[in-house]
Amino acid sequence: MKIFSRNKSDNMSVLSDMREKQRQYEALVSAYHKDLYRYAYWLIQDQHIAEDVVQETFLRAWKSLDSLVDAKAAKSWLITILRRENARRFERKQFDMSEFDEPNILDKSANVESDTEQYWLNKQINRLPLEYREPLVLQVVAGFSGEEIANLLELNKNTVMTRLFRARNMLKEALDNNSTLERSANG
Amino acid sequence: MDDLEFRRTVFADPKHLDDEIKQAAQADIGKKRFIDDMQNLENNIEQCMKVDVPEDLASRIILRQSLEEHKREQKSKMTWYMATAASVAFAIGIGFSQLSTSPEFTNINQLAMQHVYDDAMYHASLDLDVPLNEVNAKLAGYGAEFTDSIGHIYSANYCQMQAIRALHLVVDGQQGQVNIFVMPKADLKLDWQHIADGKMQSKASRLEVVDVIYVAPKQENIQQVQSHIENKLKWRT
Repeated sequence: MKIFSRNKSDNMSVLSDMREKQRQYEALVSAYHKDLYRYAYWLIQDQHIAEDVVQETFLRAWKSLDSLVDAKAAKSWLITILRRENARRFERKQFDMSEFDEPNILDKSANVESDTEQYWLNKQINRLPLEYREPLVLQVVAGFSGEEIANLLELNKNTVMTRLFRARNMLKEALDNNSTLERSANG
Repeated sequence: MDDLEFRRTVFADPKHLDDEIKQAAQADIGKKRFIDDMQNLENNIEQCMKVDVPEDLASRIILRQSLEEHKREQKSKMTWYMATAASVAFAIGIGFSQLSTSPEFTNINQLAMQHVYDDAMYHASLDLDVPLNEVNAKLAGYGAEFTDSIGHIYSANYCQMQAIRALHLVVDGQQGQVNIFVMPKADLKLDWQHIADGKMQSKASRLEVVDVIYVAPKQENIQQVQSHIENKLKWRT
């Protein structure tokens, strides 16, 4: 009888461990899925693939949830998993040349109406080379500091700051050129 | 700080400017205008980057994880440890897949009731005290949510109901546990009439967005349970 009751309480503690894990996982999903999706969207430039990669990322996160010790590091931990998942996608499709195609995200994106300023800006951000676009997204969408971005991308901080500068510089130049064009078109 | 350095620093992070930058801007109207311009652009970039996130992405992620866990479960020997991870889904899945192949079920309530009988041993000792937000996360996939507490919830797990995936909730009634199955609108060639036997009764509600089946002890006022639950059930738009 004693043995039986001990077994039962063991079972109960396993149950509560698993429930705790599930609870922790669901909290993680609800806190970070938006940032992760947006990061993937700007990284990959296709909303369907972005969604798949986010799904894969969280699935992998579930499997290795025990390795996440510091809750504060959860977001960068997830971003690291996502980058790895995305790299894996490229390994699988290394002969697929579609990555060199013009981003097709613009036509599919429902929330960006054409001919608006936002649409135009969206296009310019998509045109930024990945090495400038990615740190910009990490800073603007995920709110990481230069130092955190440097850690995530395995670059030194100065390089990151230079890329952030160039990214905005390119957008600013495009904006200035665009308004010059508009002025001359109107005039 | 020279002009180039100033610009580089502002460009690198326009929303977090240090004191040196701010002082330089105060002393120079041109620099101040530059900062304003950049912060303006930054607001536009922020807005642009906040693309719409697909609706229900969070609940689809959670659903996928529970399905994967379920699949993994089938491969390995079932233990208590795993059983919780895949939740009751596995046990129920097996129960229903056996039932759904047997042709004698013509009433969906009968099917649900049989499932509750088969599952009784398992649920007798299971009390996970599931919080409402967890239930709502699972309900989101069905386009529904509870607006308010429905009382104590012993368990909330996905299960297979013929070809349909149902969310199986076990809650408190007046006379004992009540089993609730929430499922997508089904086009099953089955009866939906209220049935009862010596111990239990089962009743179905065909609602706007989902079908709901209640299996309760025979003495339970099942209509009262139905309205208690359905008053708090709302559709996500």
